[in-house]
Amino acid sequence: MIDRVDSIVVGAGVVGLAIARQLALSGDEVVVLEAADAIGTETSSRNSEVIHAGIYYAKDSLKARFCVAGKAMLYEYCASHGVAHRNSGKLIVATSRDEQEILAGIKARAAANGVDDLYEISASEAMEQEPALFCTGALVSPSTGIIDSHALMLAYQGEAEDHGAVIAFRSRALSGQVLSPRIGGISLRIRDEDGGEMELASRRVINAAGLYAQPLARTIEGLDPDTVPPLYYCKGNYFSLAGRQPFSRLIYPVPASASLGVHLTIDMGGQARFGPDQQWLEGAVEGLCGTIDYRVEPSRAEVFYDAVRRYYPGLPDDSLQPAYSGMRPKLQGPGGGAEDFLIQGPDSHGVAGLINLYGIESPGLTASLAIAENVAALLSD
Amino acid sequence: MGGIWICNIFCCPRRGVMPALLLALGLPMAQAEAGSRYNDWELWTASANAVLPARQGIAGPFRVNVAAGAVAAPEFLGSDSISARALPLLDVNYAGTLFLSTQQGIGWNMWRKRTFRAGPRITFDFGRLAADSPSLTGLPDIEFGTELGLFFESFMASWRFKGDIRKEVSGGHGGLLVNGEASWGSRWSKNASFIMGMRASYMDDTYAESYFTVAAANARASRPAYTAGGGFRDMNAYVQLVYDFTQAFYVATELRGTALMEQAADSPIAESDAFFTGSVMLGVRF
Repeated sequence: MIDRVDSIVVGAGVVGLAIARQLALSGDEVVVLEAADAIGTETSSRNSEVIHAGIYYAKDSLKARFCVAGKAMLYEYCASHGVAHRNSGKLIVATSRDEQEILAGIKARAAANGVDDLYEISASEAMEQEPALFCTGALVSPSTGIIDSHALMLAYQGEAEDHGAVIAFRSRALSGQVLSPRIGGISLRIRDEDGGEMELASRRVINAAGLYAQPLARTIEGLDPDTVPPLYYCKGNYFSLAGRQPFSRLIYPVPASASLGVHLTIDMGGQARFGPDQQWLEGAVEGLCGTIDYRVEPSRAEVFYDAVRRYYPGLPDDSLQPAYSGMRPKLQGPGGGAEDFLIQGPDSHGVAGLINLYGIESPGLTASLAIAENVAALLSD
Repeated sequence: MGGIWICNIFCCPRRGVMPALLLALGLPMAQAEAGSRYNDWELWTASANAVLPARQGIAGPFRVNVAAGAVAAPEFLGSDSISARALPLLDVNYAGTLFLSTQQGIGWNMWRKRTFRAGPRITFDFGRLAADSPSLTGLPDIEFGTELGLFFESFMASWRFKGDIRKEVSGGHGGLLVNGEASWGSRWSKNASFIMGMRASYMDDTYAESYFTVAAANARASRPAYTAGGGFRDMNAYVQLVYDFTQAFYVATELRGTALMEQAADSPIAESDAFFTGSVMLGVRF
């Protein structure tokens, strides 16, 4: 006899917790399966902790839609739930004539996404406001902010649990099976920390496993494997700035390729940090139980000095310290264009009750509440 | 975490408590009596009307102090989350020479003078587990460890000075910790005793690395990599009050304010570099 629940969410990262909260608030019996022993131990806690405005993403993409909607929801949520955050604003800075031309395109793209509060300031205005800055022109994004991502996840967790959700830590979803139409739903095979295995079935399974979403989806018998996209890991390293941080706002260079560039962010404690860079792991990722090396190579600081000094020429030698790293679950390999979030429901893969979320990287933190609403809508269709 | 000293109550007015200081604090001198065959450190660690063997006619060499209560303290050193937990206490003293104590460890008063004692002892460090707090997730566990060390305790009128050095020899942090403490106290009434003091702790590089370093592999946005070196770990100040219901039964309370220092305070593991702890215990001496 297999135990059954209304909904299973795989992954207790920020998106999984937001979905669990959404489903629990609507009265579902929710179990969250988390392989680690705590919430948000990987991508959700290893990022820039920025509330993104929704500037760079392709018009009508899920990233653009969910980021812009999610940003408004997130600010409201943080204010009403006491989650530490700050609407700090940011500068997008050009450091050459070529980049200056790109700024106009960024502003137009942002407007197309519904972010209509961006405005240009001259280089002299920008450098007057931020004396440590060098630029040839800048865009101001007033709605960008910073957030304590762990506090946000704790708030999601608390609300979900208050409405009956259960989070099963140290419980790794190993494989799945689409059950016959007579029984309905999907069953998952789960391994606990002691190596014991059990099966749990549900009429709804939401695969929000982040770095492990594709490997898990490939194990689900009855799901067409051709619907599972390739997965590439792209590590992002961060370096912190020793001493007093010199800027009052976040500073972003004009983005290159599929990355937002080595930008400066400020954490809730006022510490400045630079990152992330892009360090691709070779080949597409297949395994479900890999160990990720989160060490930061101190030698990578050299690339940071070069990138950061383009807009912060006074960056002192030896001032960057390895801080932390995170892993992005990318849908495109090195050199590829920026892919959108991929959220597959029954209309995409034909399995009733199954939602797979792929490529949930930045701006997943900002978009988490909007993604959760979307998932709930897909399940109710 | 510094625990409450159930027995750390001054009781020796015969040694001449500093009258001016007492007057300044409005503290009446106690009318305690004590058998002269006791050393000062034995009297100092029992309240004025405590049950000392000579006063109750107990011939045996054992003196025991058992207490239980609760403490509100940070989940770990540097945590900004306070949690309450049970606090048991057991002190067994054999002939004034050997002791076994949840607070002081297992030791031998190898050098015993009227106002001084010192010797070797074994203490324990309870470590810190990642499971203790969500804030510690991803950090390596620091296991329970055994420490070898030397201690001294010295008395001058109403003042007490303590110090110890301890080196962990199995499990745990593997480092060295040096503690120094000065305290002063008296009695407010026949039944109420008062003590206040300050304590500082110094850690070596190994201890600092275990408790306050964040390796890059364990770092994340809210907890960046950090290499902690040796130095002062913390300084704290405390006030303790004890009320004796009878010669045997008492209630003891403590309020302690702690400030982390130097690299311990700068570590990202330290969510808060200043915090208070409080405790209440009920106990019996026999």
